[in-house]
Amino acid sequence: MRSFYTIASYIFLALTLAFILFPIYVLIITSFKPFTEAFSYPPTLWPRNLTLEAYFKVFTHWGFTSYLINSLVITVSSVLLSVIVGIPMAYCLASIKVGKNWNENIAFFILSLRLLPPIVGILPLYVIYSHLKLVDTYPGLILAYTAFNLPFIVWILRGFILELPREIEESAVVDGASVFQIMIKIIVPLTYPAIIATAILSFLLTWNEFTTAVFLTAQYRKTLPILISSFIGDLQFYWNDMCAATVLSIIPAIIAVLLTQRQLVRGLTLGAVKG
Amino acid sequence: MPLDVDLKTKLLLLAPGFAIIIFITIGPFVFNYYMMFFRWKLYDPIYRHPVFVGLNNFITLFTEYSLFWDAYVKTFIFTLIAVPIEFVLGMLLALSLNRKIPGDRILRGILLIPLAMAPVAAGSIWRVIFNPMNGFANYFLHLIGLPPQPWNTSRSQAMLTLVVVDVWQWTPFVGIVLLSALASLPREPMEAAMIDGASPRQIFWHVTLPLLRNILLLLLILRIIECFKTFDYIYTLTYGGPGSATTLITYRIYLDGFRRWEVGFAAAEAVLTAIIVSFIVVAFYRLMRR
Repeated sequence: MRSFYTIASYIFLALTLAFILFPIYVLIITSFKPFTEAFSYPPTLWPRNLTLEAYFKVFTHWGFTSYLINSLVITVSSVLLSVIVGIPMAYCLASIKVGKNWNENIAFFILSLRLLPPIVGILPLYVIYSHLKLVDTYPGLILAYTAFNLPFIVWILRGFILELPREIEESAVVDGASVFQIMIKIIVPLTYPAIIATAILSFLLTWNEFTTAVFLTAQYRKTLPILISSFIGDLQFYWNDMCAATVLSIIPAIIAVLLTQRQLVRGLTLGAVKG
Repeated sequence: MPLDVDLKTKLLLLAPGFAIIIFITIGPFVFNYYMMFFRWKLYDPIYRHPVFVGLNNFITLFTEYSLFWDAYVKTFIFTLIAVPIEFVLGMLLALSLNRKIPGDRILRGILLIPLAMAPVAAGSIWRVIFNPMNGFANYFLHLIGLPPQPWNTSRSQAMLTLVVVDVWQWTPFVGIVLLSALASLPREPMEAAMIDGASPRQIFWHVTLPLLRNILLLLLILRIIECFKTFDYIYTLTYGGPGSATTLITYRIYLDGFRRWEVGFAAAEAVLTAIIVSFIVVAFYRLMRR
């Protein structure tokens, strides 16, 4: 009976792996196919003509570099900004009495803003942004993504700060340290790994975000996910180019995921499961 | 005991973050409640300037605009198919991986790849596979002697393709989270049950599953919320069609707000959606507290 379960589980794992890896395999081989082969039938499981054509075209014809720069500028700035603004918020909601029962409620309220479908807020934001001329600008997008990352960062970091032993802070207070000194000299160094991991996770979510980007950009500030979505339309199918662009843009995301393996589960379940 | 400091310090710590959240999230959200009273069509010669219409948008929504409720039906169908599959497969995945097997670190690494991929990219790649003319899906059907299928271009199968992408991207996530949860469970209840002669199956149903209850509920609410947000797969695979076969709620609001530019009407839809989602979240929160 025991061996039956073992064999069944190996078969299940093999099938699941095949299911997960197949699209990734298709992605990689298609990116090395020339245009005509990517569109031929039957599809080839190994490129008959291995070529870097699609990769060159992504840069020369599709302007990959400018999308990459937009993605980098917007993602990195918004993650940095939300960490800088988020740490004091998380610290305040974890260690300082804001009001009776307020800490928990404010933290949960901030988190709940992230639970609503983004489209609910993007439409009015678009109207406001078009009045303020913020559509398709770096500041507009960086602010938007900062607001989307903040609830996540505050909620997770607050959880980490709450786990620290209270005595450390209390002895610092006795020694006459100010709130800001405690935050910068004690809390930040102690939660440093968590801050880095949370920042990398926010990077991942922002890097891949599409809904906001597609509505708040028009021409100059489009990000990589928008580029990826633009290869396949009703009349055009640049599959090999699309796959090459995807392969290139997924590299930072994979690095981010592998760097945060341990914190990933905790982050994505909003702190409920400690990975 | 929490620290107590003066108001000025608290404000200094909280204000910058709140300023951004109010400007980007809360402000626009409240602005919805203003917009919903207007006939307001951006880039339109007449209705470019909002015209007050009272509760007209809601009357339209409740009496004649069945597409909105149709989008909810589609969202529920999508959720009811995709999420159970993800939970069953994810649980099996977690159980299979919850022991010493050769190369399990590499396996876990592979499971993380779908999570790293932008949903837009996932949708696009599956579109390549499902393409009715020369995709791999039909090629494999051909190899085992079955007729080609229209996949994302047909009314009956378009929803299925969305479900496949969702299952592909999120099953590993459910599996990894449940694996972590399994690993952190106390060992004593299971050992006690084993000593009492319970079979592995009995232990799973009567000991492991009840211990995982809250994690499962949390995962469930996260996944359901995510289903309400589904946009990227639709945008890359089906455009909500054919017809409105795969127009889930986010895509419906997008069509009305950003395609027809009826922003007042879409604001009414957004407000109703926010209320419905809040009800679901609160219901789950109550369940978890019990």
